[in-house]
Amino acid sequence: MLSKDKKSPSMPNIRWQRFNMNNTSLPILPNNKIINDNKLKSNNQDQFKFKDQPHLSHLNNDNNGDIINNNNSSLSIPNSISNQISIASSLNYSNLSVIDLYGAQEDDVPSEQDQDQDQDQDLDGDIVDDEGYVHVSEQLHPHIVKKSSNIDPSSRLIKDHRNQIPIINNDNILKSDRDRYGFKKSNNFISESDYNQWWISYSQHLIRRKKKWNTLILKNGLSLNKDNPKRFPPKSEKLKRYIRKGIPSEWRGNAWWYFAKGSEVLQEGFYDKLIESSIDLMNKDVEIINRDLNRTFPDNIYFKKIEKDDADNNDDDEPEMIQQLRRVLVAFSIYQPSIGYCQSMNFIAGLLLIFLDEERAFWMLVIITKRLLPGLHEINLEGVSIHQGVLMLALRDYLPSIFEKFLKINLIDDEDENIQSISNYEFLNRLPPVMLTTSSWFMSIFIGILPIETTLRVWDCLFAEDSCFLFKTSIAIFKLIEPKLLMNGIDEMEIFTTIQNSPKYLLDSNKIFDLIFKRGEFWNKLTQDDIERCKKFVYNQRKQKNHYKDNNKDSSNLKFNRNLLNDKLWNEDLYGFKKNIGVLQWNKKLSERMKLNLKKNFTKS
Amino acid sequence: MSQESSRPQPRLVQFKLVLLGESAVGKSSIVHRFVKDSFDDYRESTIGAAFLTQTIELNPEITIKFEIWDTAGQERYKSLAPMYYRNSNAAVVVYDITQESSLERAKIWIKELQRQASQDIVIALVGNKADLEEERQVDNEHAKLLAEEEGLLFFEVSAKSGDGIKTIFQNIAEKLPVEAQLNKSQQKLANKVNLQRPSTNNQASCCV
Repeated sequence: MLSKDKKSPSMPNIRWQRFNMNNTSLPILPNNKIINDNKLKSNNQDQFKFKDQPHLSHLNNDNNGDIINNNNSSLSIPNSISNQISIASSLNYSNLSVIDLYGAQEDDVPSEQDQDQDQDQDLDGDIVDDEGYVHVSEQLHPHIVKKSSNIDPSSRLIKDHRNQIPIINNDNILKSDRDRYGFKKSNNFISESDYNQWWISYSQHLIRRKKKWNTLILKNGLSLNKDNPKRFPPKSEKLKRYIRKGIPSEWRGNAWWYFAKGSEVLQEGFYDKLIESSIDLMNKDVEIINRDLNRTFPDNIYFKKIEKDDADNNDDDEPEMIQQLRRVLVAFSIYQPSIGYCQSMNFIAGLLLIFLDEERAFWMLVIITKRLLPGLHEINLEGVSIHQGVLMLALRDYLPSIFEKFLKINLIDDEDENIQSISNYEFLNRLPPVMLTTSSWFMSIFIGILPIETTLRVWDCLFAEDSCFLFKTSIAIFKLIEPKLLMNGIDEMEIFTTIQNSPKYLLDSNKIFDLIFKRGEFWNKLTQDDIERCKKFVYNQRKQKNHYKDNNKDSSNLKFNRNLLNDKLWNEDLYGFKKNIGVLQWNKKLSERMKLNLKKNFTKS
Repeated sequence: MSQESSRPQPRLVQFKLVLLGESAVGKSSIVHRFVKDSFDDYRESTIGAAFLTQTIELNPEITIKFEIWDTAGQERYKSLAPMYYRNSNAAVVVYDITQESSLERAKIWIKELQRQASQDIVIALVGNKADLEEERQVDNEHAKLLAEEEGLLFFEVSAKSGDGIKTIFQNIAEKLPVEAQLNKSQQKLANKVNLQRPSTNNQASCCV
């Protein structure tokens, strides 16, 4: 009804008339009309925000560890077989053209040595190896520690976490019923043979990427530190591209820590003090934490309850990982009382613990809840509604047909009222029921939503590019299932089921990542600034309507809380723009976009 | 339709059902027993909500399809709860018979439902983990009395053994306003057709 131009079917209809609405604080998401004109839009906005530079004093090469050795290949899949593999997926999105964009731009052509195009000729089966790299044992998961310890800081185990993720050894992985992280390969959605088939081809990708990462590290004069690098190259387009194609799992802990700037938040010794003060602590949070411990990755080999031979008292033979999880979560609940413990943090902390020692896992949890997803886990969960509201705004701009479909579900049967709810943003106050299926996407940062390997790649980008990446991922998921959601006669049950289950089949992470960065899709230009503005807008909308006051007079917890927004966005005057620089820029940009749009429409007609 | 056959096809009626209750009382386990007839000792904590469907035969003429929202139990998630029960036809409020406090939480849910949910919502109070008789903290008669006072269905069940699970949904189905729902959905369908016709025509004429 609104689209005048007939472009490719994937192009969303942009509603320009929204500029005329009364509410001038409406955030504007990047879209095709603006992005196509690079002169007006500065390209470096959505780039990395980390400023850290590796200290030059540490640039010495560690020759012992940094030998590239082509002989010791533990992979024996003939190319002829792997080339035939077609990756199993239940989703039919056949017109997805694979463009290796991933942030590569015209002026960012890779040099001859670092051709980063993942061509198959690169596929010679070589794997990079060095002394530290070969630490695979007969078993796939030799590192399970069953030692028991109570909450006593002195007994806290500081592990060398690079040993926890076994290297790619296809024989071991193909034979095992578990993946490299100790999760079961099969579940209700993916069979073991689906997994193996995918793995045979994906492991080639991983090996290629690892080789490139090794070269990148060395070329930057950094140390591979026996396949356990601690420092990573400074921000660049190339690094961003590398991260988007996946950080080697063996390095993930260190890399996440580095890119999320963990050392900036870490306070030496503080975590141990928190643990010390949590001994014998008993409160509601601790109670729920205890209940959730064995409900966190119950199938994972590190978290699985150890089967007892004799029926003696429990708790003594708790897996080490469960004890670490308890300490991290309890310490966090003391550290951040406005959050305490929120279900879903058990999964986040659990995944961190697979890759990081518990002290760093703790601080990463602080970074995630404070810096990356502020307010999301707060006691009143208002942050969940704000994030879901932003997702709705994003859908409204990028996938308007889906947005409209969602609004119709389960709302009042009266069409007029529905229309009204769109125009006055009532949908931000009474979020459509579809959002019930997506709230967990953000709360658990896709753990259990996407298959683990795909989740890890989303996490790579989250730490390097901030939470806007989660929105990009969400929109890409919706884009993938769009044909199904828009099918004629689909009822709301099928819609809920599709949204809930489809992501679980996305074993092939390249499929979703290719879509996130596909050329011509506008959501990949979504910047963190856009998201922050949208958050503020949703926040103000909800505050104005005083959504919670009537229903919940009794609860003092349900006050709006400044933790919901990043500090830089907090403004005493919530209903108008303050005359600070950020706002001026925003308004200027807004008017530029409007002018540009008017000009374009004018020349067209 | 198959008008030739002597027996008419059973009619399908859809109802929304929400599960509420304290964390770790076994809401997800009850649903999984009902939908998949399976049980795990350790089931992952539910984040946000999970959506499942299951049909049961009410009688040869009527099949009921339950649209089930299984919710997260932690108290803070209650701010999202109105989204689930807003349009629910039935609610299963679960407590753990080995946890006295979980019954207190159940009472709060019941009050909230009676105040906020639709008038004719069918509410069942369900005590789970009946297999753990030796750890019982909540007296069966006490909870039963409570349910009677509030006019609720009452069951004690075990998701682990499967005892009583199907009965919950069967009994709820019997109390649901089947005829009214059938009329409503027919009405809705009629409205939809009326609304859609002109708009599709418009679109077609636009494009040409």
